[in-house]
Amino acid sequence: MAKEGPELIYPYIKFRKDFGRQCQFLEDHGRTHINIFPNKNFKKKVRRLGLVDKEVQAVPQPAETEMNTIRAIYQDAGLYHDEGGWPKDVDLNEPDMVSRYRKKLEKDDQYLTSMLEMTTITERLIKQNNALDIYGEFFGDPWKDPDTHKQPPYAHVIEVYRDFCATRRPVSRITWAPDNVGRVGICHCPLEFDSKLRQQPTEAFLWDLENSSRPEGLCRAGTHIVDMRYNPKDMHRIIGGCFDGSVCVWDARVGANAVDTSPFDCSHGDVCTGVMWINSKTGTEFFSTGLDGQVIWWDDRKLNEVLETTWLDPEKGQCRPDHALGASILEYEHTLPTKFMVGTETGQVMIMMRKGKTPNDKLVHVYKAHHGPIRGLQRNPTFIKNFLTVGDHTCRIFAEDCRESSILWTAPKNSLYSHGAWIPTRASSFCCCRLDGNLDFWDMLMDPVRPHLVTRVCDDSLTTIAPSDNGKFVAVGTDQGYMSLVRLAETMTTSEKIDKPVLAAVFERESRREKVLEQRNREIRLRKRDKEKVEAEKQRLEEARKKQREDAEAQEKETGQKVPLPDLTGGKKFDIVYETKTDPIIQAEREFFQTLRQEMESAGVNAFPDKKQVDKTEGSQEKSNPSQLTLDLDNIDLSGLLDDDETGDKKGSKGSDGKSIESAVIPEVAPPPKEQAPAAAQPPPVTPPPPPPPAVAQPPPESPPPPEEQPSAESPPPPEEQPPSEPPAAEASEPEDNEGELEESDTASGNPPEDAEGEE
Amino acid sequence: MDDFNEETQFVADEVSAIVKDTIEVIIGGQTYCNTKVSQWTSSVVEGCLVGLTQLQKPFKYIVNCTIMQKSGAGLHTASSCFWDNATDGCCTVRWENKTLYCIVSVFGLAI
Repeated sequence: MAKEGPELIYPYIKFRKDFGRQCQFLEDHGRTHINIFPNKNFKKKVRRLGLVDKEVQAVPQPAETEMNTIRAIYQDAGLYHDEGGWPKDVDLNEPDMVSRYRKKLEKDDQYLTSMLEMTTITERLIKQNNALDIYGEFFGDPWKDPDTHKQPPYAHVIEVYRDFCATRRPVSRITWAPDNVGRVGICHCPLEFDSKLRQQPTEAFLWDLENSSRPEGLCRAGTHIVDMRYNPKDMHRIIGGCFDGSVCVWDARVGANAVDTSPFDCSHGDVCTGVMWINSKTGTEFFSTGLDGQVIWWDDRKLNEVLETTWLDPEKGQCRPDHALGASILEYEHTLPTKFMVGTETGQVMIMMRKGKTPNDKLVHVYKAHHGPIRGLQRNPTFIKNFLTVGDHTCRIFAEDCRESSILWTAPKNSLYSHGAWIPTRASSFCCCRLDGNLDFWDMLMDPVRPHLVTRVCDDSLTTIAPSDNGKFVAVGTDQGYMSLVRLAETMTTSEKIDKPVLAAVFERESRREKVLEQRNREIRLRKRDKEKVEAEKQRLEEARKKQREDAEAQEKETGQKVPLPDLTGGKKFDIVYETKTDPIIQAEREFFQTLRQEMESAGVNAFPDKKQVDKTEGSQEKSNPSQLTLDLDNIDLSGLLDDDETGDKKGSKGSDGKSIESAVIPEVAPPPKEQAPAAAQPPPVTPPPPPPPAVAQPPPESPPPPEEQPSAESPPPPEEQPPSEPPAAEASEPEDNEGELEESDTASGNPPEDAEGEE
Repeated sequence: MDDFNEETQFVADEVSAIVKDTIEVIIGGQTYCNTKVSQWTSSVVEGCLVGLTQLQKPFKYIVNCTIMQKSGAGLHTASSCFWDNATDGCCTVRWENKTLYCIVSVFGLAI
């Protein structure tokens, strides 16, 4: 029960002072926080953007997604193939052992079956990579037009370079710098004697073909420079031969004056007409020749010394300065390092060896080539056995082994040839220049009879010619000091594959023909010699008979009796035995021509061409050899052989070597008449019935050796044993020997009355 | 008047330091960009508040942030308060870089 007691009150008391400070709010007057004033600098930098065009597409946007298919993953892998699986005891480095083991395996029974299995597998493996045959030839030469050989040949003068001196001096030699660099050296030298000409300037010029207005360099010497050559290994070294016989060396880098000149005492005694570099280890050796007939070898580093000299004596085994022939041109082929050729002023070509130990070895052979100086001489660059000579009115081609005559020659022209050279890139063609200003191009395969092309270069005489090494150009020099550069058609300078064998066949055929002719000439000569001997013999016998007759007449007068003439024939009819049908010479000749014909048939076309066959086999290119050269061997007339004695003389006069059977037979057979005469003169006293006067049996003045010394005397056929003494027997002589017959009949006709008298 | 001590007073220096730090962190050397400004302002305001609360003082705070592009235009702001002058206070920080101004005003009111 709630007592009303005192009311429980708990007062919370807090003093004012505990309340803290009384808030006294006051007005805080406006304050300024920030004042940023307009900045003009900034304002200048501000650029207001203009209106912007924006495009919005209102079509549904297609989605684009990419995805990859599953990739094939490639891998590069190499395969190193090594031979393996050999048994231990086989050493791979010994081929013997390997091959033995292989053979052993191949004999195994399993070998075939396993090979059969393996080939199919490996073949597939091998083939799967070879999609293309890399060695196959899929295209022909694209640059070669098959119709080029049909294009007409041409030779155009494309540039003219003139003598840079005021006076006009003939060009004596043009020489091309090696390696087709387009440089040319031109020598100017008047070769005829004229004291005015000698006062002209003596420079030779070196031209850059690109610049025809001014020469690139010049070479100066004391006298005119006749010949000049670039060193094939260094085109700055130039050698030259001078008019006074000396040789000079220039270095184009040093200057116009000669670096070295040979002193007069070891130089040529006359004009130096040719200089040539030769193959040597140092590349500094060269040789020169001149009109004095001397050949001198030099080293261009010291010209005051001579390496070697020789004289051009045309007689073998001799080397006499006073017999030497003046050389007009020099030829040297680098592939034949010790051989060289010289063309002389008198028209011979001499092949010489440098290294001959004796004078006999030095001269190989002398060819009679031309009537007059040899103007051009060069070996064919492809067939070095054959060489070209140019002189008088013809060009000739010789083969080295045909010694008596050239194998091919051109028909004589109206004007003289002055120089000629082969075209280096086409073996069958050469060019030569003439004094009437024409340039002849010959091609033995295109046209063997007349020049393939004749170009008129200028109205002046052409003096020299030089084809460039690449065959595209020919430089021609004139006597007015101009050099014309002639460009040739491509057909004239390129050769096809077939050309070489065809040309070889031509050379072969011609030299063979020439050899056959040589042989025949030799026989004819021999035969003529024999005949002369026989004639001499007859003469002697005739004299002997005359003497007999005179003696008999004298006796008759003395004794008043008829003295019968001794019968020198032994009572038989007289036969001119050596001229009968059975004459071994004729027999041998017949055999020779028979074998020749057989050989022709067996050797086929190339050896002795029948025209039709040649045309068939070699096509139109090889038409024929020059018509003036053809000789129809089939039609050689044996009967005419004996009449040929005089015509045979035109060929050279070399003695026979007696190599062949035919020529060997002749000397054997020939003696009998000579030996028989005296031998037969003796027996008559024994055999004939009438009493022989011993006095008349005297032998001819020069008594030949007794018959027993000559074994050949036994060999002749029986009739030969009869002494050829009786002139009446002339009727019995064979008709084959026409001349002999004529002479016989002459004597016979002159004598009959006396003979009849004598026999009575 | 003896009650006035550090704890109950608004110290403008302290506050302005906090504000400057915050702006420095958030805006720094960035150039003015329309799209980023709203984010900057809110970040600055929040950043300042966090910094102020960490002072552990009996205050109510009002933070106001203005960002203006430097375009050469002028700007003037002012404010007026009715408060206890002894304890309450206000602090305005003006910060600028090459392209913009950032003006932050903080009002601290004692409880």
